[in-house]
Amino acid sequence: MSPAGPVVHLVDDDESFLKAASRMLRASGFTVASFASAEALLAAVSPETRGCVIADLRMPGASGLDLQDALAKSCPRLPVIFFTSAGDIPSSVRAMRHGAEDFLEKRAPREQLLEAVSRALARDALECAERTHVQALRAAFEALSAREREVLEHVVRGRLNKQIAIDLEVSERTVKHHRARIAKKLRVRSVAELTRLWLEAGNSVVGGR
Amino acid sequence: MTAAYGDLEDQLAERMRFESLLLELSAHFVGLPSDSLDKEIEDAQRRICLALGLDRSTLFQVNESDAGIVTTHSWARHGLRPAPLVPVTNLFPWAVQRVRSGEIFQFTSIDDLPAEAAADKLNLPDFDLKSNLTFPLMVGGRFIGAIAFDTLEVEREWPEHLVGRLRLIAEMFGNALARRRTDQELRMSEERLELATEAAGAGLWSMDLDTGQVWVSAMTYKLFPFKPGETLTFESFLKVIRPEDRDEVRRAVQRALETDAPLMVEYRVDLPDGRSRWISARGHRRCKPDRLMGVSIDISARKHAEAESRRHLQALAHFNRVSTMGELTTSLAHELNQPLGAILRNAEAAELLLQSEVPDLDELRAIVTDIRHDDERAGNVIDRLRVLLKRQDIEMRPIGIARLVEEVLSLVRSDALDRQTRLETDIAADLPQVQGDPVHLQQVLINLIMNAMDAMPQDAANGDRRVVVSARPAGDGLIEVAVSDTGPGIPPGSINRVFEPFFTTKASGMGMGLAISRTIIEAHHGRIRAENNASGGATFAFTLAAAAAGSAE
Repeated sequence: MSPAGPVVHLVDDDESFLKAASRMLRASGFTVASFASAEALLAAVSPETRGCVIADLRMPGASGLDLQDALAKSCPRLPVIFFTSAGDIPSSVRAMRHGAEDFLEKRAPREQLLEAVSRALARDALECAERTHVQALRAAFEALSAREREVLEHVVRGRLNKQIAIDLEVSERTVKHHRARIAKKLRVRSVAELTRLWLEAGNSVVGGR
Repeated sequence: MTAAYGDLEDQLAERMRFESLLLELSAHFVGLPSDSLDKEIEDAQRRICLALGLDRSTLFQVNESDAGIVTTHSWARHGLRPAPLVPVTNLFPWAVQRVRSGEIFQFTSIDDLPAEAAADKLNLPDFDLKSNLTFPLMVGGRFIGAIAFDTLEVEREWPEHLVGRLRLIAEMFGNALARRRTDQELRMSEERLELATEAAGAGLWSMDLDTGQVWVSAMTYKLFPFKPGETLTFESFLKVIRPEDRDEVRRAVQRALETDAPLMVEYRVDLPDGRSRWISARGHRRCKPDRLMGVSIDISARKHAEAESRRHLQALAHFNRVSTMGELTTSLAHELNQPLGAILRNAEAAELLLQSEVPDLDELRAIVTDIRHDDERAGNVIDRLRVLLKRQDIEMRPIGIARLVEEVLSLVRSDALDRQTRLETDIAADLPQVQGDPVHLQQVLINLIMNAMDAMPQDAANGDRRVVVSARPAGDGLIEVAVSDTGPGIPPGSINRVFEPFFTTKASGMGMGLAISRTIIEAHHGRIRAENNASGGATFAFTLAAAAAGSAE
């Protein structure tokens, strides 16, 4: 069950605060899911979960930091915001070092809280978009034939058609032919663009041949 | 004496005269004040001898110090020698023995005496005796002396009726002497008592329940602002006692008189110069005469010392509480941030809802209810904090242990979370209430729990950090509350010292927490102890008495 849009996941052992914060965020236009414990949240999220997590740092059982560690393993890209108590600096620092998105006081002004949530959701959306983009690129590169792949790898390494023809023991004309087909499939108009896409897909231009 | 008719009439007249003399003397002696007794005894002896034609009457009394018999009074007819006032125990051993055992001793002639009376026979002639009649004086079965009637010139018989009448005289004398002795003894023992009590700074008093008058010793005048020579009654005392204390004194005296229980009461006396002093009075009801008598002493010094040490404890306990509260500020901040944060978020939600064209009234109502609930929650935390920080005397009342522990846990829960320590409870069901002061007892529990947590440092070595607070009945109407941890335990050499002031194994802290805790528990008439657990860690336990009206929680 995945809701259509991003979900703000609220985690707090204090029933009253959980209810109130949930209300406020909903009234502000967010989709909210609330959980009374870290364990409950972990049972409900997966790597596909979109949105963000806001958790109380101090909870019985699995604490906020425990939650952060667990999420880092299962849903590494889900942004986590922490509610901390004034003066709890060591925990806050640790949380940030381990990649927390932000930390706030429970009684932080509304604008601060909403801003932090928006930022977290935006970041999540951005990462999501990037992931989708990369996946699409990969798929596109997969769609190339083996031969086209070979040629591509040489092109992105800056080799001239002449050199590629010698390396692959084909004619220069064959090389040009492959290049045209690659450009058409990937809809690129320059080597620079091609190289960029190649890198964006997570490939390397170092080494090889 | 043989008698002619005329003699018979004389005899009868003489008998009547004697009997009226006897009556007169008896009546006279009964009400006689002890001081004039000696003179009256001799006078009576004279009149009796004259009436009966006897030559001499001698009174012997037992000497208290050596139980020997001494001649104390002797009257003899004109021209005749009275008996010397000497001890006679060794002079007349046989006679003394007879009389001591309650027998009437008599002889008409010395030769009548048996062989056993050899020593007596030897000594009697020194006393010019011809005939003798001696009565023992027994009072309450006790031999206190003897009275003898002698003839010194001619021998005579002792007829039955004469012995009978003289026996009455003997009894009369015996009673008068016994009463005087008792008075003397009483006076002497009173004097001894007075000396002793003066040395102790105590005043003696005795209230006669028939007349209402109160006798007091000299020292009492030093304790109470009475005028010497003033006639004192119970009211005189009440007048100088501080008004607030009068009822209690009245009640205590009433109780002592009605139930024969000893009188025990403490009260303040206001002195004319504005000062006041604390008096402790103890007394008993006594009979014959019916009176309430006792001792009063000045306990102002003790009361001052008690007040001083109470103030001291208050100050220390207060300081300890405040510094402990300081250690708990993070917990308290957390406790307050929860409800306050909820109130803020709820209010914001309400604002947003109100912006819509058709606000969701049900939701708004729910928000308002929640806000009230959280405000109350925050208020409770503040109240609890305020009570704990207040400086106050120990006020005992019945309290439930379960609730006490719960309140303490709510204060330390956050800290425990911080320190990754588990807090567990093990409270027996149906535990009776205990008599105690909740603020001070909570302080003890907080001290013990914080200590337990301090004993378990957060390193990898000790993964199972646990504090268990338990409460169970401990027999004899006692409840035992214990706090145990899973730390390294108390070093064996230190177990006996942990409750000492300024003793600490921690790098920071004054080491007063346990000393103060012990003082508080002892002020509750309980005991606190420390021991190491067989399974590791230490346990601190204290006992409290169950509240009198045993009401279960």
